[in-house]
Amino acid sequence: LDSLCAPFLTLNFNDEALAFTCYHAFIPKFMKDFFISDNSSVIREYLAVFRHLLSFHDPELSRHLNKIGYKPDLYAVPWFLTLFTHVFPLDKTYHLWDKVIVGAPSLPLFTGVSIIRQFRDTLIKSEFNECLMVADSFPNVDIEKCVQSALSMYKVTPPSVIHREHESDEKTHENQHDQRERWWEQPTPIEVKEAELAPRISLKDLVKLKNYVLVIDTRTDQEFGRGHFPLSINMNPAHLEQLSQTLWQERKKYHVVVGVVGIRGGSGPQFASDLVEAGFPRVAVLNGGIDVMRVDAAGVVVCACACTPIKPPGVKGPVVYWKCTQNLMN
Amino acid sequence: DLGTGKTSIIKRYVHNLSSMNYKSTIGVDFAQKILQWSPDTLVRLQMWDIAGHEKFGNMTRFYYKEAVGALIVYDVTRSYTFEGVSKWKSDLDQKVTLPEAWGGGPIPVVLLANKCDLNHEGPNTKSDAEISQYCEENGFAKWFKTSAVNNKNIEEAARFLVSEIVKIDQKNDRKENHGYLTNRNDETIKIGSEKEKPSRCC
Repeated sequence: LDSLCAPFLTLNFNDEALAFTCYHAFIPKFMKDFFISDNSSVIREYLAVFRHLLSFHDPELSRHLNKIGYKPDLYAVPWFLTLFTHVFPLDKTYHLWDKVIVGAPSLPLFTGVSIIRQFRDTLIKSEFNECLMVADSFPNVDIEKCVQSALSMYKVTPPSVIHREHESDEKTHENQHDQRERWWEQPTPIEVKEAELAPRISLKDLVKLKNYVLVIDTRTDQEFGRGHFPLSINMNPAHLEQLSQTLWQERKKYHVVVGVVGIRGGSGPQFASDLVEAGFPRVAVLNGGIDVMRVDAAGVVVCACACTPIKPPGVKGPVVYWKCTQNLMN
Repeated sequence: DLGTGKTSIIKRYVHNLSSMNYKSTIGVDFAQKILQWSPDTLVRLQMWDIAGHEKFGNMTRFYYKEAVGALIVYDVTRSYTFEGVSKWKSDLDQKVTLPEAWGGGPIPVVLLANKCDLNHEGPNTKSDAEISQYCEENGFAKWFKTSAVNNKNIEEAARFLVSEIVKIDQKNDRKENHGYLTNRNDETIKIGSEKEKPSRCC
């Protein structure tokens, strides 16, 4: 906490009360519950969301760091717990905070992602032990570049992707009566968040992305036939390797998986992890799967067109996929 | 309370530096030292300098991962910091064991009574005999009076811990024909250097 109050104190050296007031306003916005006596679940959630965000924006780097076991626990704790003051000299802190302070509470997460991405060339070539040493050069980051890239990532990230239980005061579980049915409104347990490589996205955010997103449905073709997100692709998750060319050709900015997904994980999140590993950008899982589309209208038309199987060109074996062609949502 | 001198000890050991400025460790820091242990053994010692702050208490399981030895540090000028020693020791015993290839079991732990350059006589000061007895009863491999400022016993303590680890490795080496350390990228030894549980101030 000493490094955290230093910026306020140095800027208001002759007015301790003012420094304290700034400090007091700052903490709840960016660091809510960071300093309660058992803060481990808060910090763990923060790091899990950070990892999701890294997967979302830099799948290749995320996959590598995940593979070698270089977890955010090893480098990002001082970043977030002191909002970078522990790592950066004061001038860089001022530069960064100037932007962060007027921004959203999630900006520190994006800042973290852009710091690590500035070192991606080194990190991606390094094994675990070398990575530990790269951490020494984090203070040398180009802070202006970092701020710019954080802001631009922020603009293209749907809010549900970085949702944290500990961020807001209001618990949004108004629908007390049918909570069991609307299970996707329950918070995702922290262990599940930590296990999944890709974030979860809400239906509301998915609908906003409809023109930029490729929805990949991994349920069976019968289930797909009974109802699916318009223009989505249905495929067997085991055929990712054979079909990845097909998916890349869609050239979509976002990739959202509709599959079996429960509050405790499922094959949908597993497939999303596979997509991240295969390097697809901006991958997320629709939280609630097809259930949420049926229950929550939110502007979604569930399409039930009968598609015919398509054989991807140049792929041997019994590999087919289905593609919905009815653009019901425009 | 923070500041029994874990980071200072590591700084002294690895860089032979002494700094009067204090900066608390948040999360974990890393340091590395390569030792020419014997003509045919090179030991790469990787040290994990773990924050002494209890707000990270629950994350330590991950920080202990694959550790094969530990230094626990307390501050002789504040005798109450000794109370944390057993908490850290039992935490270690619970959460970390030697690798399977070595047959498991607790990792060797060395106790450091740091800041012995400062005058610390007080009513609660433990006598050397008392500490030796405590170490024996609680499964510490050995203890040292250290000072990062005067560079006292730090080299010795680290050397002793490494020798304990190498001993275990060689014992298993003979049994199985190849040691665990030599199997993994030329003998990385990870040492958690942590200290007693601190109180709640920051």
